[in-house]
Amino acid sequence: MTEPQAVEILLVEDNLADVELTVDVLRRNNLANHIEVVRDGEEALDFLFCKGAFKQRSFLPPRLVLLDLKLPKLDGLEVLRQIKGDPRTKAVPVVVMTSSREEKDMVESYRLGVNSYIPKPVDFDQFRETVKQLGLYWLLVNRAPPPQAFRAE
Amino acid sequence: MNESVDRSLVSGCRSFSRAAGLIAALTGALVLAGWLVGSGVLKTALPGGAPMRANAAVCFILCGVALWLMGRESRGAARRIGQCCAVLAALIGLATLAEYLFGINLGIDQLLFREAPGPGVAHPGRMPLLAAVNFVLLGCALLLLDAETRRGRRPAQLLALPAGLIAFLAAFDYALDLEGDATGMALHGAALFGLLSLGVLLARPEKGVTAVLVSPRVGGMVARRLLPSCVAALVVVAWLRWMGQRVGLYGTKSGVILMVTSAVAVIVVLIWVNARALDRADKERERDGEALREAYAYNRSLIEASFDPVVTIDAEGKIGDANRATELATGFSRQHLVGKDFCDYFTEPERARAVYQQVFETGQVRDYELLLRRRDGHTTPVLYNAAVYHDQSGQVRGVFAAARDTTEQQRAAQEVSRLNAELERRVVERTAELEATNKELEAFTSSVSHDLRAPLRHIDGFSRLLLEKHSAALPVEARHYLERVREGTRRMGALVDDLLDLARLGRKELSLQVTGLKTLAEQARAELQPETEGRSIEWHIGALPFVDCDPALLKQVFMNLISNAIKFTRPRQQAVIEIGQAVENGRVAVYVRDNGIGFSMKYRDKLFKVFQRLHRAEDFEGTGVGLAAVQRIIHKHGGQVWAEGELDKGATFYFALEAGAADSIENRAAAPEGGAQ
Repeated sequence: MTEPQAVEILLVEDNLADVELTVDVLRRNNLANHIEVVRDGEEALDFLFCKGAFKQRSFLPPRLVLLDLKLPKLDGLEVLRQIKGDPRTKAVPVVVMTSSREEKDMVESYRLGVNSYIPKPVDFDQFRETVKQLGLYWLLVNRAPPPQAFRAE
Repeated sequence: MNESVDRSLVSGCRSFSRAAGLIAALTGALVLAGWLVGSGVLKTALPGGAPMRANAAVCFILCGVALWLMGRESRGAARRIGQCCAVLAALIGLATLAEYLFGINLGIDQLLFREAPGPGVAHPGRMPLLAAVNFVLLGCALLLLDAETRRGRRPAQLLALPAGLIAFLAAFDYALDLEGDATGMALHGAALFGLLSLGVLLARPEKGVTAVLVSPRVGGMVARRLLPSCVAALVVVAWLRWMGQRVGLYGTKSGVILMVTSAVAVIVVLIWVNARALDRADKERERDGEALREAYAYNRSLIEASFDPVVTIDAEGKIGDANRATELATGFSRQHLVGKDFCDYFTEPERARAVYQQVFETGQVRDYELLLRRRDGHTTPVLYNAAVYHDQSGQVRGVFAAARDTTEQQRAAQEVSRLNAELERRVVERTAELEATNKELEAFTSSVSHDLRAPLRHIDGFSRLLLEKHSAALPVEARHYLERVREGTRRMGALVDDLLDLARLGRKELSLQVTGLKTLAEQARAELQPETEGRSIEWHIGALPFVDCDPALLKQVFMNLISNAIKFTRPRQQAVIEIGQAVENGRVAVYVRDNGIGFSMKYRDKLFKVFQRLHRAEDFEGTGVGLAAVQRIIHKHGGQVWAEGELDKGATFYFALEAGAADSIENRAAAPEGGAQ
């Protein structure tokens, strides 16, 4: 992976069906040029901090992290805590997308500094619309954090 | 009885003594008056008898006054005057005696009055020899009335006894022939000598030889009975003998025999009668003694019967008495305990000392905790109750203390606290279990929330993709089936969501604040506006109370009820939805009424059950959770919810919050709060 261009979206999702549906929506809207999919919390952190299987990767933060909460090994909240707790990744926009409607998950996520919290709608039409909206917003409408924002102080 | 004299007898004797003095003085004065006026009766008292000489009369006055004055142990002037009188009487007696003995005339005989010399009158105006002796004896006796020898003898009494005997002699002489030849004394003179002798003897009855006369004991009784009766018996017997011989019934020899025999008989009878009386008295005494012993044994047995260790303590803290329970509690015998220091038998001697000291100060002490220590080291927890006790005169004699063994109570108290601790431990355990169960339940809901929804989305998502991307390749029927699949998943999603809401309600803590229900109802209606698109609905929202409630939850109640009302009035051209308050069964209830399709009252119990629906899904959508949620929220507030309805006529849903809240509803009901809409 020696791509000059950075990964635009890091999708952290263990469920293959969800991965497929999400990627389908992003593709249709031309938002999925550079999607990296990881299947558990540990892998997500390896990718972000260039560890383990991603040791060779040069440190470049993604434009957006789409994070499921219920994950094998390390759960989403722990991943979020580490991202927001490290000065190098603190500025990376993280959107939690979860099937959970538990209030305490939402409270905890916001406490840890999540940028958005979106419950996955059961209805596919709604789901599609939601994913589309958030892709458009974070990749096109929103201005990405400048490199200085990722510097360790 | 502890007294050595009978007090009433003593005072009787003294009164007699003073009265005797008074009578002697008055009689003497009368005789003097007789001499003054020349009355023979006053001088002789008996026609033809010897007269009482003026000097004798003066001596009787002196002795009588002395006895009367000194009858009481008087001091000062009265006593001195009395003693002067006594000395004077003794001197007159002594002077007369000297005249007799030395055959001289001192010129005192005719000093006051002159007596004509006559037959039988050797010395005119001079009192008889024995009278002079008696005045010497009585004068000295009166002078020495309160004198006492080292051995407790009373000279006055020893002097009065011979005087009394001389008086008896003269009186007995008169008794035999009324002439009084032997002594030459006047009859009243003899009587006055007797009186004065007795008076002197009995002036101090509790002292000297007369003490036995006033003794309350057997000796006193014998003396009081036998002395007068023996004297009287002998006098009577002798008199009878004399009279019998005078009239010639018998001669001297027979007379002596008769007299002695009858005297023996009389004395035997007297002694027998008295002995019998004494025996009776003694028996009574024995019975009294027996009764006393019985009373003592009874009292003792009560003390011994006590399970509580009982002791008496004197002012120095020494044990005076102890019962069997004390012996058991201390391990020492009563013989050992008596006289020992009370404090020595406790683990804290100083506190034990404080107990009885406090009792002596305040009269009593109650429930004072101490530890009794037994000889073998075993200790007994006790509560001491103690009070002072008194003797007959009311003087504090000591402390009576009873200890109550509280071992059982303490054991019971320990058992209670052990059980409490056990109970507490169990509560903690159960609470922990309950918390664990709650955690599990939460984990379960969370997993339902996440895991059940994800596959639904997948089913919906992929069937949708299939329809979109491969629609052309699918037959119409297949497309219809796929629509059914999607309907099913949507419905399942709604069910899961509602169920989660309901479960969340159960766990949620109420956050109460005073809230105007009208505002909540208005907000709910506004939020449900989208559902009323294209409908004609007439709204009536009346005054609603302020109540203490969780506003978010009460708003949910209005949301569910209003949403139902909107839904079930859909068939109506003109829907009417009314929200207001009413008094139902004495409580203020809030209601939401509609003119919708209503329900049959026979299903009213099923209305609030989860997933219970009274309508077909294609007529009215819904999961059957809304009313169950309403009920749960109202119950959480301690209130009640119920419904009235009629098929095709409409339905009314009521809720009333708990009693306190109902009060506030009533109070606020009168307050104007916006008009109907």
